Amino acid sequence: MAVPLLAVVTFALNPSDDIWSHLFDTVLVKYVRTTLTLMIGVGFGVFLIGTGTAWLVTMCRFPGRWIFNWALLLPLAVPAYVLAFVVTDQLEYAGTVQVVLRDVFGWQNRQDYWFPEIRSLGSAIVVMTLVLYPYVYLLARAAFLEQSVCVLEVSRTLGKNPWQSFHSVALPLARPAIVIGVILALMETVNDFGTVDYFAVNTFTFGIFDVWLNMNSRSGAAQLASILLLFVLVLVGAERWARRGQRFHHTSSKYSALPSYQLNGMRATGAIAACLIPVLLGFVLPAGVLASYALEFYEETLTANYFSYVINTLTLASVSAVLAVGIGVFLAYGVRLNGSPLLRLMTRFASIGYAVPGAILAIGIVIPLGAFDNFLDALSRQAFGISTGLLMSGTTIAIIYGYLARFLALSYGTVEASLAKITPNMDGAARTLGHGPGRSLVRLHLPLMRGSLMTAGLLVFVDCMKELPLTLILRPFNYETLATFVYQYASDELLEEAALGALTIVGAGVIPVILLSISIVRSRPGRAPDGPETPQ
Amino acid sequence: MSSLHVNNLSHSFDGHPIVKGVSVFVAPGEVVCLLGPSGCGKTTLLRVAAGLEVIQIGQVRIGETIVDDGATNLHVPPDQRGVGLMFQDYALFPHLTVRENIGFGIGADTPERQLWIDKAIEEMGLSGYANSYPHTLSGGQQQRVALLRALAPEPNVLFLDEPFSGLDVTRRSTVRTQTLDLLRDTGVATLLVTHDPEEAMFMADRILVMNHGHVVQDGTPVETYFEPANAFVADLFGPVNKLSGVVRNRSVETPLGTFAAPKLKEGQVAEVLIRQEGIRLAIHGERPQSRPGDAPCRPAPPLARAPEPDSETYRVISARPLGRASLVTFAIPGDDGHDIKIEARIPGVFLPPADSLVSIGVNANQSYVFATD
Repeated sequence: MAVPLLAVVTFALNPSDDIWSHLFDTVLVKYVRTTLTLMIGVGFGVFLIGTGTAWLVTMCRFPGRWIFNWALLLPLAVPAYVLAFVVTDQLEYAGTVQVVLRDVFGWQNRQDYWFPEIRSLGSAIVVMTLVLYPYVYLLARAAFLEQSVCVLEVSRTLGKNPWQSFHSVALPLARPAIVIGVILALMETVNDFGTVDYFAVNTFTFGIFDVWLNMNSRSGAAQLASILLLFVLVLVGAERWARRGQRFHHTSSKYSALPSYQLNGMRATGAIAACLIPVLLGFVLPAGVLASYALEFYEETLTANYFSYVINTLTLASVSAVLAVGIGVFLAYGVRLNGSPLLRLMTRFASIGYAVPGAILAIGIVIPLGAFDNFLDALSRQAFGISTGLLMSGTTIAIIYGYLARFLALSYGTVEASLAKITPNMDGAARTLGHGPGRSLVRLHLPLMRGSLMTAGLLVFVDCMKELPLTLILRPFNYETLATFVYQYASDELLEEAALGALTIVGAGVIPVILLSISIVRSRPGRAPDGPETPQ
Repeated sequence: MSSLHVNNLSHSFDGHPIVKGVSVFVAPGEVVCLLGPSGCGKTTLLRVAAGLEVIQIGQVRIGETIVDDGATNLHVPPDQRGVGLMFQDYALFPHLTVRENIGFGIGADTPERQLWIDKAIEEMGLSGYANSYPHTLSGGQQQRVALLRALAPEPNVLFLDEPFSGLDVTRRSTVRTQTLDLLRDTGVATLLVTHDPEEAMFMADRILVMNHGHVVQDGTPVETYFEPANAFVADLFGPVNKLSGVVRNRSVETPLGTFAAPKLKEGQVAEVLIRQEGIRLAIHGERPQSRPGDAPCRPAPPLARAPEPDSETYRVISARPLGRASLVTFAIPGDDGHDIKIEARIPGVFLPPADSLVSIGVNANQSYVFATD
């Protein structure tokens, strides 16, 4: 799984045509500046919305709180590029908003009024913030819930008001979790291609595509990719560092019912608004617009083509999900049986893919697979006089490989966490009762992990459905998935016809959100501790 | 039925030696107890013997079969050595019923064992729970299921890792008796690990006391309690009072009296350990019961503070009821002018008021003299 990364770096360090200086002179500075601005903007935005809403729903009581508890997660289901398409569709000159404004105020044309430019860096920041803040919300909320109420109560008895307590106790205690959330959101930001492409924002990922497809320079793309990889490694390092800090932050294990500050009148309205706006803009608006388009244009869109895209998507996603879970179980159980440092290091390395933008992985896959295919082709021509063509790189195998490299971390992480809940003594019991490692896995671990394996598969499945940049580069000629189809139609200003596809992606994305909210409710401290899993 | 031989076993984790050259023998039908504080290596030894850890140095035999040999890197995996192991947390399989748990280790091809399971479930009072899942059972019931599960495949050797520590104190004694009866019935060689001396005394035919990876004493419960090999073993079986002195004329003189030390060298600095229950007290004016063999008590010198004790009495600091016994703390004058606190555990209720005076007697069978290095 590390092959793509190594390939990118090797290829970048051995450029066939020297475009380093050219890149540096022309676009590099711009890419760096744009990417950093985007990251800072999104980072700040997700921190503000994520932490604020998490605090409101965990610590305050106001009407509708229990709905927002899970509704705030919904934007997670919307890929950034889908929101970008919808926002543009609504806000551009011919869009609903400006049309209404012109009608109301009697403006005739663009010169009569000022309206912000939609296709801009600012919009990209807003769009990504709206769909990525749930990462921070999720982790901050969990952190606030985990905080011992005693700690907060001590702070209150020492004369701090609720706001001061939040500021001086709750926030610092939750800091590692919030940092991890922001970093995860930033990893997604760096990965994004659809939004930045549509808004013509010159980030690194945008640049990689630009250099590859428009300048037709593979090595240039690889070089950009390896610089982007540095960004990502910094993020990965920061995440590890933050997780290390997290361990020391459980000061007391006593939980009681969470205290709630009752909000009334203006304050309650404010709290509702603060929670409602992100959900409205991040989920209800795009889903609503897409649904209305989908209903209106279903005759044009509900065609054989649509179904073939759905089948392509489902096939790719389910094959990848099954493989990812299988490999995840294999690796995690392997580590459990034989905890050698080498194996641990390898799994660590294999699971880094999640942080790596799809564009980088795609390049890293195309290069070695292409070389392999050419080698095979030459070999077969020499031996048999038959051309094998591009056996791997031009096929769905490449996409599945890419999905695995990128999402293995997801399944491995889930499997590992689930496996860790089974005490080693269980293994010992099974072993002393005459079961070898293989039979133990079948009779003990797999049945116990069944629920988690489903979750892992589902997470990978949905992420594969949403994944755009990787699919775009690796797909065979004329092979469309829902994501690429939506991207292409929406880029051509044909959002109406892409709506059904986009809605399908969003719909699939809602499933893990539901799963997440269920697991959140279950894991709440203060409830009776979960006993051993009961078989369903 | 087979015996268990562990020969000269040494084991280390990350370069830290945990077990250092320990040998254990358990005969068929015998219950041998490894007793020691946490970290002394007893659980590691058990896990190596059960095959859950790969042996490093030493040899393990079950009956005549060598299952582990550090010298030849022989390691029979745990699933092929026919051992039973009951874990401290029981490690019941949460997705299986009580009956499925117990039957996990035996195949469908052994109908007589299936019958044994049915009978055992009934005898252990679990008949109403055969189709329940483990998390619905009480701690005591879970313990019994775990024990039956380990015994169901008729293991050659049974290992019990802190088998009663998960139970609350009131249930422990009944479960212990039940367990011991079952072990006697099956006649399996049993190696039990515990840190609870009372449990070890109750269960074991022989106790191996471990400390820092070594076996420091191997004997019957009575031997171990009354003839501890060193201060550590004496201390392990309950709190002791410690006094020090120098060996003169084959005995050690302490503020509490003179203790015989026939085996120690003249002039050797020695430590005297007196069990709390080895001290007898009487209210001032009466004499404590004296029995043959008591250490000769010398008259007490006067204490510094009022009320002035006379030459044979000591000042009480506090007396607290413990239920079946009373814990009395009193002061004796030390060499450096400071008082030394002595604690005595007196059967029944004996609660002299603070600052009252008591006279004492010391049971020599419950006091031990060891050389200090």
